[in-house]
Amino acid sequence: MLTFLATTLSLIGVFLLQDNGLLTRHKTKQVVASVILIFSAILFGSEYGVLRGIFIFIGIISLLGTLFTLLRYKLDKA
Amino acid sequence: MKSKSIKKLYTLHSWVGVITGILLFVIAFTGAVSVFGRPEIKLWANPEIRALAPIDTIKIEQLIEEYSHKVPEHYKEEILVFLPAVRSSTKLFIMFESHHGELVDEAQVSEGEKPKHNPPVAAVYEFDPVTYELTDEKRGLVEELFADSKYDMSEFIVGFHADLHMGRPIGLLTTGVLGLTMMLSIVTGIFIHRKILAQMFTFRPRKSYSLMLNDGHKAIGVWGLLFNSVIAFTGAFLGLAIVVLVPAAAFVSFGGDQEKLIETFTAVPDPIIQNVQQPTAVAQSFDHILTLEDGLEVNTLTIKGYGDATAMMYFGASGGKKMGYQTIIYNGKGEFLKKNTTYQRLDGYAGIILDVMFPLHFGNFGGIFVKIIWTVLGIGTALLPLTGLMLWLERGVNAANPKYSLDTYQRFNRLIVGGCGGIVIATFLLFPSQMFFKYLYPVENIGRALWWPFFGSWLLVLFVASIAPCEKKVAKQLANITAFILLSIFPIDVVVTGLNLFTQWSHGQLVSLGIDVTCFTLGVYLLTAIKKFDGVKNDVETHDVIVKTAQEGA
Repeated sequence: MLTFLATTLSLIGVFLLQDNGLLTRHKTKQVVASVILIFSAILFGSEYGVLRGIFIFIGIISLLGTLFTLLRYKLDKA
Repeated sequence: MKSKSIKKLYTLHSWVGVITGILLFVIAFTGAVSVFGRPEIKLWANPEIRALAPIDTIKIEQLIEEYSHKVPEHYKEEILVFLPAVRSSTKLFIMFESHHGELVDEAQVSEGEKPKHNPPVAAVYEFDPVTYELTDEKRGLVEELFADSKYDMSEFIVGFHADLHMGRPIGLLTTGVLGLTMMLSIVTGIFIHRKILAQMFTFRPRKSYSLMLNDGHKAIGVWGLLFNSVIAFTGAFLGLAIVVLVPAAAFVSFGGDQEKLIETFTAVPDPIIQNVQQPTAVAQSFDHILTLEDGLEVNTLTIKGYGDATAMMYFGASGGKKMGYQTIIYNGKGEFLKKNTTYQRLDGYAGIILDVMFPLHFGNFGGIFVKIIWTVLGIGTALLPLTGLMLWLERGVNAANPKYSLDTYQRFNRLIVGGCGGIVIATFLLFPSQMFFKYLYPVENIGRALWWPFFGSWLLVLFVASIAPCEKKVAKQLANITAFILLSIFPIDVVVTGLNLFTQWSHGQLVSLGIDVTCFTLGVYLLTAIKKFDGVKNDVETHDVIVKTAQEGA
């Protein structure tokens, strides 16, 4: 359950960081996204332990970021 | 940074990619599959161990006791138990080993002829994992017993990823150096990509083919930066550790004695035998481990001083809360003493770093969830050199003054299509080949037989790509063949095992079911993607022609 929550938060964090195909310049969005991502990292850490949690967080951010970037044009089209 | 320096770094980035790109794709792609090598592919490849009942610890204790009476006393110096379906074993193995070899009759050997060391000897008993009946037994020198061990597609693919089946030291050195070149590509890539953060979400697939490759290469590279750095570093370490780092450390600190160095940090100490008989509580300790941590899985058991009051048991376990492998120690009475990681003896952070190297590289530290992430990101790592190579070709061919002739670019393109497409086909062909050699044309050692379909198909694809008039058509056909192989895996499994989707589910064979369904889904997706890509390419080509015509008109 915690894993699902942390993954969802990571996705929201990545989503908030994007503005029209670029990294957002909106300060509030940047801060909110950072807080969400930090919270997500903490959740992964509490579920898997600090060391494992950090690496799982890195993996999930890499994965979600890549997929979101590569598939975002489909969302735009829709 | 000055633009001149950036240009130099760009040249370095390009040439490192051009030289190592294909090999990097091969290593990264097989690495992505290897994440599921043990135990998932192992279970798929051996249907008889897919749904084993939990290990019968009392039976194991009885077998150790029974067979300990069938070996000479000095063989009980160390007893090793390898459990089935956990890592690489498909059967239960119990091995009685004498590190000091056979006993020498001192009276019959003159002083000058005494050997310094007798080579280690062992007796290995192999048991069926379901019935626990003896299926095979061997006795002899340890190095001979393991010289020609049988293996299957899971060891084949993991071994290929580790050393390209070139053995030590050349194979490991090659993969280790590739890890280093990958790190160099990452570092140069960071410097030459000036808008690294601003453009991290940029991907424009419909504008032009070149832009799609460029954005795709950057997006995968930027988002996968940390993951790829971790993989490159751990890969370089694992490749170079045995052939360079260990000999170098042994040379500096142990007078060149590598065995002594490894023993110092990893070996378990021999107990001082008191010759006081006491049964070794194997089953009790086994059962206690399961209560220690959730997800902890015992892989091996080492017993020293079996049957003596000073006996010690060392359980090798993975999973649980620690990232690396753990050794859980019990005394002969079955009392828990402590647990530690493999390199915990090293001071400072060195032990922690060494412990996490292997799990970090293979993603086996958080169950299936982490393995899926590692596999998908591993595919991304493979796509990175591929998109880079395609970009280099695209820019080279479309340059105002191409550096090389069109023939040269075309030959290189054929090599990329054959090398990369070939390894994908060869890897997925291992699945039907495994079942073919297991059921239709049984062979003694499946792993050895797999060399033919694997390297044969790869060479065939390379050959076809090198002579075909249009490499784009070859690439499309290769994608189609890959899709059909993927689609065939599930039906082949159903035919040879007689278990369909529902019976696999009801028998609790979720791992093999997962592999079957994933391969089938990937096959369907690939066929759909080929169709869509054709459509997109036609759109882009039409768009390019319109833009060109408009520019000419203006």
